[in-house]
Amino acid sequence: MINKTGSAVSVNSCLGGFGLPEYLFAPAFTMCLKTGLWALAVAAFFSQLCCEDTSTHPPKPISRGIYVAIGSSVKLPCGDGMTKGTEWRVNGSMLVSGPVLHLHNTSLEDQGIYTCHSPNGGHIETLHLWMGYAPSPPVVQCWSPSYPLKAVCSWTQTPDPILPTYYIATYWYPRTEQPLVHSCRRESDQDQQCILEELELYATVPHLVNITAVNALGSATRILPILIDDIMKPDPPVNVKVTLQPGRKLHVQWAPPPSWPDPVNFTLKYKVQFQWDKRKTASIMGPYESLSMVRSGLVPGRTYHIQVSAMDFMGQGQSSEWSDPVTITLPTS
Amino acid sequence: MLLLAAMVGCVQVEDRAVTLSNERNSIERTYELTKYLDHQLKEIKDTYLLYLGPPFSDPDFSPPRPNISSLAVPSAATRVDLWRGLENGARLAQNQRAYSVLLCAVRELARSTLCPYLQSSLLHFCSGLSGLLGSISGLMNALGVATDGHAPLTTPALSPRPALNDFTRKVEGFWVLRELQSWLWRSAKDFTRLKKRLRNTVWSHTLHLECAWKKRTHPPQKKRK
Repeated sequence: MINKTGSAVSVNSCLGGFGLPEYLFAPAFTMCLKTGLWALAVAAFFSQLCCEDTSTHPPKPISRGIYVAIGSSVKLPCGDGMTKGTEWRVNGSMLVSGPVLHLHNTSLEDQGIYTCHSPNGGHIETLHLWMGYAPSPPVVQCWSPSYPLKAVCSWTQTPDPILPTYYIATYWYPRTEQPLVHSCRRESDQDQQCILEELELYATVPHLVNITAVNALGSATRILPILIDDIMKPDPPVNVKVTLQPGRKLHVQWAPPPSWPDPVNFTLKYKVQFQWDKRKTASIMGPYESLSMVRSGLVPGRTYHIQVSAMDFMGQGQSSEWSDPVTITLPTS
Repeated sequence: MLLLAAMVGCVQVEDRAVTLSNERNSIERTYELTKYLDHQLKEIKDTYLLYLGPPFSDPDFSPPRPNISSLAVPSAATRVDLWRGLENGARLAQNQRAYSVLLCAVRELARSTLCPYLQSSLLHFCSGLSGLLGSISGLMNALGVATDGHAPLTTPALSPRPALNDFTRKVEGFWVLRELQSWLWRSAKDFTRLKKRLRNTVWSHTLHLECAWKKRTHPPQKKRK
């Protein structure tokens, strides 16, 4: 310690000025006292860091998320569900007084952030309520735009689950020597379309495609048997060109869809549709195995919309969608 | 003498090209017959399933395939890489084995069918199948591939049972037509591939012939000293 004159003053002389007993000034006792004071100071300092004084600071509110099926009823207790005087609020507005919140015949509008408060207004709990549906067995459709190398399966859910839902997609062919379960290739677990690549052609026993939907409210599975040769569906032909020829003829030419990997061995046949009168009247010509055709006997001054579709040459599977229309108007003379 | 030798060589090459061209025409006819049979089968199958009655006539019905000797048809199922790699002879041999069994199976189906119209259709179909089998055997002979001989006419491919209301017999009939359908689809692709392969072979022999002809008519001139 330093006195007013700037010289050091011992603790003992300070204490002597207060008329205290002599034994209190013994060196050993003084050392012990100093040590004790330091220990108390350190303990007080660390108690601020690690030990919460519950008598003056309230417990932190609990936060959780709950998934509820639309149309169901739910009871939401605040804490132990027995504390009287608590109230539930939603988005900050008072909803109901009582320790348990009952929601009947829930709907999408019940989704939100619910908070539970003590009688003195303290925040006890925060509840995120997510509304949605458990998955239903997916409605699956498969087709092969790249026969014989690939097939595609896509699926939908009715009703839409609303909640984040992921899918497991596999397929299996019951080969006697070594049946394998293959993963149906997708970009991500939430994609609703996948690609099958190891296909058995001309099989009498179908491939089995298994699509399982999973979300927080449950799971559902669909198993679809498919014969690859039955589900051929090429993409529409491309590069459709229409040119006028002498004698009121139209020369139409096209190319096979690039997604069809082998048009030489797996030949396609084509149909050509001519529409006119604002597309109210149509005639379809074909099938052709060639990549062009000529139509004659057309009406001068008429506008034609021409489209082409492709199909397996044996008529297996389905026809493609029609290509984008090409429009041409015949001269009047 | 040189000219005579060149002419003989040209004739031999020309003979080979003509033979290949004939084979290609034969494959074309076999391919067209396959398409015709496939078209016929579509109609027969619909009528036959109605004849069998429910549940066979239900659109999505598919009974398990029985593992019995009576349905010992070689499977048409294949992977695309294996299918592409088949040699011409092996490809034709697989078709011949399958249709030998299927012909007997369809004959038995016709025999046990009580509906006269359906029986007549099935027997007519058997004639077409027999023609297809003969065509395949002819192709194999032309290409120098060993054949298995003529299909036995009386080999019972289906167990003889009198009652049509026997469910197992109906399942057998269902599966005979399904196997037949798969094979016709497969055969159409097989013959398309054979056509393309033989066209390439004819083309290469035609080029050889033209080259030989040019050499004969325009021999290379010697340089003057």
